[in-house]
Amino acid sequence: MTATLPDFSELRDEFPVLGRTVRDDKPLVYLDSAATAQKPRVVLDAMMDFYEKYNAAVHRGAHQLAEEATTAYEDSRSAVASFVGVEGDEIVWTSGTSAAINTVAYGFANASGVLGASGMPGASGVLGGSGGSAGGLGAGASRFALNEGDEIVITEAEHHSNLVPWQQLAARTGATLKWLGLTDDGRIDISDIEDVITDRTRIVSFAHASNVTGAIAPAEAILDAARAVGAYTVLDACQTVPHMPVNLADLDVDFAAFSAHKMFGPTGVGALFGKRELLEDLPPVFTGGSMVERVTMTDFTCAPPPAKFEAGTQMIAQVIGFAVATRWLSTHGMDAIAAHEAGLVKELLRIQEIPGVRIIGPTDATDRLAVVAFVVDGVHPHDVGQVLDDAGIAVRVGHHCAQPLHRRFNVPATARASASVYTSLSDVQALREALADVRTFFGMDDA
Amino acid sequence: MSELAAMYQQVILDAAKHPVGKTLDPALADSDPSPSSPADVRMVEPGPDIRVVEPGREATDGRNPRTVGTSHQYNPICGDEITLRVVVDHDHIADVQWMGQGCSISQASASIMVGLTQGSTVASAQHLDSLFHDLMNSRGKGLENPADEDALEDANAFVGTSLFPARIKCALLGWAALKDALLRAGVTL
Ligand SMILES: Cc1ncc(COP(=O)(O)O)c(C=O)c1O
Repeated sequence: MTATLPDFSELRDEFPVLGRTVRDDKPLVYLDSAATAQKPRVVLDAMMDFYEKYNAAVHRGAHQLAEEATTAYEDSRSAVASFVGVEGDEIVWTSGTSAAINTVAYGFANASGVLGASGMPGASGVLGGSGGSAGGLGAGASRFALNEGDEIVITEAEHHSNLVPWQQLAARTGATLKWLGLTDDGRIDISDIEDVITDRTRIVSFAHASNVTGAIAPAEAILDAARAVGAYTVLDACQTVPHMPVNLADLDVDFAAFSAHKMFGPTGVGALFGKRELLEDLPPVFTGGSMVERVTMTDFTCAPPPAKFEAGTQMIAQVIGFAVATRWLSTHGMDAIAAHEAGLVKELLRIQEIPGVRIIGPTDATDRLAVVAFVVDGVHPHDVGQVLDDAGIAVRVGHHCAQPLHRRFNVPATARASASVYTSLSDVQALREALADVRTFFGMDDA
Repeated sequence: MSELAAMYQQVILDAAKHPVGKTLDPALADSDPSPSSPADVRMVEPGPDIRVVEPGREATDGRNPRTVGTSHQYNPICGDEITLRVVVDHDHIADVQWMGQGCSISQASASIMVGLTQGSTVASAQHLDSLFHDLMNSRGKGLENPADEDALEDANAFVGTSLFPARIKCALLGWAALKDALLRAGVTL
């Protein structure tokens, strides 16, 4: 695999934290990138550079620092947009994937009038702004109104961030939440898709890949079914964007969400993609400074998107770091990165050769990311994680914010190893060796 | 001794494998109302495993002679759960049983706790609870007072766990269940 990333060890050296040791001087084996990825030096430097050289509020001041900051902020938007194949003004900065999905869900709630429409002047807003819609609710907002009888469709594999906001939206509007189930090997079961996605379906939202099983969703089939019934589509792309080429325009989704921190950028920033004409009509959630055009004592008009969704002073340094992270990914090439990780998947899956280790999710390397959840017979995942930690190996244990998925597989929790561009075969080897000792440590019989 | 070995001492591994008092019948737990407030306390009939109060004792101290409290504790971070049922006879813990699933630390801690508190006075259980909390806050140092150490017996083994902030909750799960169950049994703590 080093053939595709020829400078692999140099690449690894770009990540300062990977050079440290843990637990009595053991080299760090970081297998928790699905939770959050480590940051290369260029990303850290870019953020420091902003603070040291041109820290200023954007879109506000007339001075040179403000101008430089604004240029960097908007250039970052173009960079992140082109990384996922869309236009700059289709990218809204949010604090992350959770905030992006909530922005869509609350937008629908707002359009449905269930959050108290009185606070939002309607289309008759007195200002009738130039570019923007009057008040929060422009004339187009009604396209998003949900009513009793409408249905929202998700899957049983969702992260709580792509589940709870839809539960809330359903509860508020009287719509019904439905879902596609999972097969025993952790794939989304689309055998009954025609029964689940129907004429009543208004929204279909799903993870492009599961953060637990690593399974890549049959996106085409689900999106086709959604489009066939005229439903809006939302893609939680935060696990796929860092690991494989993702072109949102080609996928033709209506909305998508991803987080910088999972793709070598900083925490505190993420992106909501929305098709331009949809962002025009979707009501904003937060109101206040910078998201307006004209404001009187009784009314306001919205700025055009994306500004309409960015009330208040934004996380400028993080936005800049986010864009640098996408440039860093592009430099190495998403195809090369995906190929490197495909090699790691095969090695990771070999943990199932260890007695007592069972993978939750696909056990074959096709259509899956290098994210592998597993249980060790007779040993609780928390205890597994502790033994691995003692060997310097960082994995995540618990339900990974996906309780329904764990319930589906009758396990309260799993351990999860997740690889990334900087993961080496020797990292995976270290995991396998340490895992082989776990049952012995806990005095399991066959050991 | 490595920190890992300090955490998983043999007494802990043994207790996790052969837990004490992990005999609660789910039907029994379900049959108990789960009182929404401690005031909503239920009296129980003496069962085969419940010590019978000497006749007359109820009348003299004016308190519920035998009450039961059931507590369900859940750690949302790791999914560990414990359901614990306590029968209080005047000032004594007449019976404590539990069921649940979780990591070896939570299971062993509940087991050792039951060993320490089964048949003890409520006051002693409360004292042990506070000593155990001190131990878990000791960051690996253990208890200072030898008498306190003696009182905690096998539970001192969790001193290693106190080095791992993420695991302290595991060790406290059973103790939280006992405390809550006692409250639900009408004990004033
Ligand atoms: C599939 C998936 N969706 C949503 C989220 C939420 O992302 P964030 O915590 O960055 O908002 C995560 C990560 O935790 C995830 O893995």
